[in-house]
Amino acid sequence: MRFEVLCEGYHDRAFWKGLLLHHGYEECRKLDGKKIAGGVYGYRFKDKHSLKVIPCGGKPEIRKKAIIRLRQLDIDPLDHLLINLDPDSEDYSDKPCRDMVKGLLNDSSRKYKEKNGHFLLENRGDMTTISLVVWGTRASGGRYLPGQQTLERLVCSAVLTNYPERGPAVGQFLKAEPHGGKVGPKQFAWSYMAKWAGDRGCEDFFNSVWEDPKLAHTLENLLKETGAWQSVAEILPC
Amino acid sequence: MIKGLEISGIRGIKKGRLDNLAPFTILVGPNGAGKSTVLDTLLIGSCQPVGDAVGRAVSRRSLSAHTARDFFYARDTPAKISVWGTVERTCELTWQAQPDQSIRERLEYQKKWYPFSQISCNVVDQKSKSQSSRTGFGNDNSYVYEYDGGPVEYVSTRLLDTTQDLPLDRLYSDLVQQGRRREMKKMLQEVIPHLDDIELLTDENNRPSLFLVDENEKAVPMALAGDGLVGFARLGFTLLTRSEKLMLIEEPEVHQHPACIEKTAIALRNAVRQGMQMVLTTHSLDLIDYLLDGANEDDLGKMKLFKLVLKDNELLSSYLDGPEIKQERQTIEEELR
Repeated sequence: MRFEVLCEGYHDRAFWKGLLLHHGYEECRKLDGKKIAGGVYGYRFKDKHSLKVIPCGGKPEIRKKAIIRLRQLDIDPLDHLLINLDPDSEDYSDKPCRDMVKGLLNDSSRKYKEKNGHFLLENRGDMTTISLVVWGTRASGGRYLPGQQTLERLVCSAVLTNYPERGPAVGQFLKAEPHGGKVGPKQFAWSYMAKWAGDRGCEDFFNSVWEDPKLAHTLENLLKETGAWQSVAEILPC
Repeated sequence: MIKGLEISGIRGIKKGRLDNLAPFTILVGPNGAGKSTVLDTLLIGSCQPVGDAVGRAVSRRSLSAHTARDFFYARDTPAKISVWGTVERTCELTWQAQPDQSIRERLEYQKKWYPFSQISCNVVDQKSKSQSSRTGFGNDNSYVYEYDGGPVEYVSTRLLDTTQDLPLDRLYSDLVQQGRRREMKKMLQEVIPHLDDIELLTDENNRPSLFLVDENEKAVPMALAGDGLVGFARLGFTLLTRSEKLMLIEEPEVHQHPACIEKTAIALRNAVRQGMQMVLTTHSLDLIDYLLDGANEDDLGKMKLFKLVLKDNELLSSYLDGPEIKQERQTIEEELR
């Protein structure tokens, strides 16, 4: 089976890396005999699945990339394409992201059916499934979590659930910022990361949250609550 | 401008279609994907006389003998080419092991080697004007052709293979006659730093030959200057002197050093800026990078890159518009590396 994930940026790519390695995938530098180039990460599960995680550089770029990828299905078929987005809204809803995917499917002039939340495209006798993975959490975190629904909110929420003492410390740390700048999802994530992953950097923080069994368990539950796990599970080895 | 073509039954392509060709179309894909066949079919589908185009398309692949029979996906099934754009034409081609008498006589008169064969081509344009041509081939793939019927609509087209096109001395003579010598000399000096001049000299039998003369008055035959340089010169001479509306180019980067590929990209882009439609095949990421590097918005708007794949003998394609080529450079690299 051939899978691809289109995500917004490098932190999403790092989070996917942790998730995939945690679920049995192995990293590889070549897929289907071709070297993985640029910012793409490649994975393989035995000889059964190959997967690419492709950071696109933001939401508009994901849209452009997805349209091109759909155009290429004839010459480069795919079993499953996951489109991974941050809703960026205060409340968790995947509707705007879903509308965006429907829009790009309509623009691509490809016929599709919707089934169990997935989009099914027939492609020269084969089926390609398009699924949406929307980061965020329905958990309320009050002032210790970023307001915007993003990957950062999801990860910070998992950390806060398992290490609740970290919340007030982060709150205090952010409040004490001398310049009083805006506190967005990135600021929360960097603060939760401080010291724990300081020597490994921010990308590794998003990846290493899957190395902590408690965090990994919580992350899965949070993704199940939003329904995003239903799509993630499609590309994981059984 | 030719905007699209449909092929059935030619070489490895049972069927296939390319739509929305651009003023500057780049074809990429693995070996055997059908890129060269697309160029051949564009030549036959667009130009006149068709019999000559069929001859060129067959004879330029002369690694084996008697290749006319291999021009068809199935010898007993006619092949078909349709092109559309400023001209619309449909060509039906058939192969026969025994040429018509007039063709056979011409092949025999020219002392061509047996076995002979013939490809017949009937062209009908959008105004229902038609032309029938017959191209006869000797065993060494050299050809003769004849045709009857009135002129059909056509685009002046040239298929340029920088490794085996017209002799350099002939191209250089055209260049000088058209007053483009200085331009070409400047172009060559950019890839040959010590070049002082280009001279057309004759040998003891009065055969012309092109020489590069360096600052120390040392003259070297251009043919010995390296395949990459010869290819570059052939491309430069051709683009500067030809007035064809459609230029089909087979891997212009062959044997070239990256510095030379950069100049090739500039020459190609300039030709498109001057109104020539260009369809080229390439395996060179360097060429694509140089084409993108110097491209302005207008140039990008004229570019389109098609990835070709042959799947179960069906030609499949996917395209990227100019700005998308930049965006997707990474996946193009995966294809080409």
